[in-house]
Amino acid sequence: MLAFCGALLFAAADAWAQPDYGPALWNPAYPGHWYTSDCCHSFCVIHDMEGYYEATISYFQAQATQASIHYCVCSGYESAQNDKGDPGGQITQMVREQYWAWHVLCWNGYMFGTEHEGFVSSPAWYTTNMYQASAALQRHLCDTYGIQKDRNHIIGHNEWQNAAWRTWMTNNWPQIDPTCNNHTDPGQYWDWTYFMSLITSGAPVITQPPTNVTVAEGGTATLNVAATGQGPLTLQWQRNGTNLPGATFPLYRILDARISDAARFSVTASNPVGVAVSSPAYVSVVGALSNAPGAAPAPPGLINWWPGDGNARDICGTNDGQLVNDVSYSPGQNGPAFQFAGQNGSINISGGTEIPPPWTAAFWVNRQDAFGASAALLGDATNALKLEQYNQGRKAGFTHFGAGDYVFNYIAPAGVWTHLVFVGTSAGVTLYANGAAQATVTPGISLPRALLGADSLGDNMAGALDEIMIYNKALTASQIGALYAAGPMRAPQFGGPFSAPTNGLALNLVGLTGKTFTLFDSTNFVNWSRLATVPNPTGTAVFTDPGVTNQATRFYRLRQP
Amino acid sequence: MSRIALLLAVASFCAVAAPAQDAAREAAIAEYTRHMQDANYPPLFAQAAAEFHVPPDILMGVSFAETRWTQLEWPPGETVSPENGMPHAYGIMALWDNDHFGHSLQIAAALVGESPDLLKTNAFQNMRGAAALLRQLYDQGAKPPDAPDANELESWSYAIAAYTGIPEQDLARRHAGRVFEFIQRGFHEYGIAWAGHPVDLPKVRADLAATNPPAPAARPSSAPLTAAAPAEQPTPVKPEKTSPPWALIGGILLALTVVFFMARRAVGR
Repeated sequence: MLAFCGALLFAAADAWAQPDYGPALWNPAYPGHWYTSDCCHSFCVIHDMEGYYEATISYFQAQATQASIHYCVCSGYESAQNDKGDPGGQITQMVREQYWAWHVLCWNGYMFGTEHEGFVSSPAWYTTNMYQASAALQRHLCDTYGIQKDRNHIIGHNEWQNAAWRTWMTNNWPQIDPTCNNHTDPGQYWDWTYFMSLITSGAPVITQPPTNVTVAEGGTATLNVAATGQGPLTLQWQRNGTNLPGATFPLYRILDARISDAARFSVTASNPVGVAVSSPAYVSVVGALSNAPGAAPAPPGLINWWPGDGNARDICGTNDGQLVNDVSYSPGQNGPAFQFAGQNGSINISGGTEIPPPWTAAFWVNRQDAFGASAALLGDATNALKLEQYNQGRKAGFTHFGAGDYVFNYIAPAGVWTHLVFVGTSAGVTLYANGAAQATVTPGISLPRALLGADSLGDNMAGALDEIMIYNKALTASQIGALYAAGPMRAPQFGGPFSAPTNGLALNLVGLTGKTFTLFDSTNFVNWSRLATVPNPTGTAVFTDPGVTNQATRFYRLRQP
Repeated sequence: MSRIALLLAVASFCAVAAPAQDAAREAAIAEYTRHMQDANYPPLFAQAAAEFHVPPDILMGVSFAETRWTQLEWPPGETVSPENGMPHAYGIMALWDNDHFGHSLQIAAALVGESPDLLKTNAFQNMRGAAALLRQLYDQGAKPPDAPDANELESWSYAIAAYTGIPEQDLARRHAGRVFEFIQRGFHEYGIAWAGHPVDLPKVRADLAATNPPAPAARPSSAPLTAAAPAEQPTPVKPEKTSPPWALIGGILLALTVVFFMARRAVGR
């Protein structure tokens, strides 16, 4: 592509290992495939690669290639979990800014070049990530080399087609022949209006979003962000979407991380021109495993257990999870629980293949009404256990995709912790709620294990899940009852404050959801009598003892099964 | 659905930045979207994948990463991009026919018993050739640890890296990783309707970051087949300075091709 490439050979080894532009990777073109002296750096040229990102970088590294470029920008999409897996907007530098790459024939001695992943034949290459990353790069070049941020100086490889530009060039740069190139990139799908607005407005751009962090309890979780944009540029960190007071620096640290610190974090960059919001990063905190006093052994056949205690680890098997999109943690039935905001959140389970019958899946569920017509507890592309079956008035059920939606005549109460157990055999699926069998519905299905809180069709649930356990056996009714009764490692207790209405004393009772309180009383702390049994559908209840007077001393004791 | 999504996307762009959107660009995108909807590629991907026992999402993911499901066709005789000299990729599966990235177009065409020219112009035949090649790379090449099952998407990461023909293994593997990111994500825009599929991304990333697997040519199973390669088979040209895996394994693949052919004919195709 070059008129006289090789006229100037650059023999010395490249002394720099760092890119000229901070966010870029440094991956040089074949040594010497650039000019070391020429006129000036006065323009920025926008190209597309006519190839995909890694192949094009490979091509520019080859000795036989008679072309080169300063920068390459990767296509790609907003990454759901933003853990740097999808490098949309990633930039690779291949030629030093102080030199001249071979990309535009007779314009080479005046112009920077940036290649964008993709082909002119599809609009699907030009992504928001790519525009934002490239705009920040062009702004860097313009600011560093005094290039005006307008369409006369930031041009397409096809700018020769633009008569107005040719005229402007003839008047302002008579030494350059504007017609020595005949190319068509970046083509009709390139959005110049949006791209130039990003460059000229100086709106903030998140160039390096924060990434997921996992720390041991007591350790330090560190989150970083990099953003560009015209000043004054301010940063603000959010935890689960809520601004963190004082967290306005690129670095955000959680010292002495506790389980309760686990959450979804994001950061906004703002300046007078606009606001940019980073994709989320999840902080996971891993606590030491210990059995609470009095804990009972789990029934046999337990293969997975996700406690949801500040991380998505499987503490029984090896199928750790990963939080995706609008998931975080909330107070659960035992320690923190997974909290699904309901739009698009899920937990992706690593290596979660299906389990043929028999199987058992147990959940503590705090249901909210889902946004969609269907909400899955556990699913994949073949099967799903449904907290809300499709178009069935929020009744629970299960689905074998392509075969049928099956429904139980049971609706989990909204806003109340409920213990749901699905037991699968080859004959059908049985649902237990708070230890009580509801119904068995045919047919039998395999248990999906790819996603918690969703399935492959979406079906994102809203609400919270805690202590998710999977068995490769069909648990019996008594085993399920024991599982429900074992529950969290928390004793029933009296919540404050006490109050004294006109007749008697009101007691606030706090304990395991769904498990009836038994209340005893005594006047001497020696002889106790059963005062009442108090239903407990929500985990808290109020009992008013009418026999209380100002004169007598009374003691109370509280128990749950 | 995708058309509605597109309009929303354009509208949000306007709200963010643009005083006047380029009407010609919008029209071109609308036209492209209609074209993609009419092409209705997913059943073709599924059919080609099923024929060669490749998971359809692997075929769709490779195509999405390399062409965005675009059937790349070029003027007759044009082998490199006039824009920057980049060797052309052919068809919806971006098959190669050059010395830098290798000659997967020739190999794929031979595998399915069709002419390379047909694979250049027929998207379905291009998919078939690529599926046959991917399956062969999977069967003959190194596999990630703990990945014995071709039905598991994660088992295909090394085959995908080999498929790219990129001589630098780190780049080839980075690309393979992105294929799985796309599979995990799916895509619903510009007339492309692809649900994607859940992927164990941590495993894929760990596999791709692992020590280099043994080169396919070193695998003992291929040795007798190499010896059986007939002399009249065209041999890929190997460039002087680089040593792309394609050149190395091309001969073996061609040899395998012959055997594969004969086997297929023997069962009466």
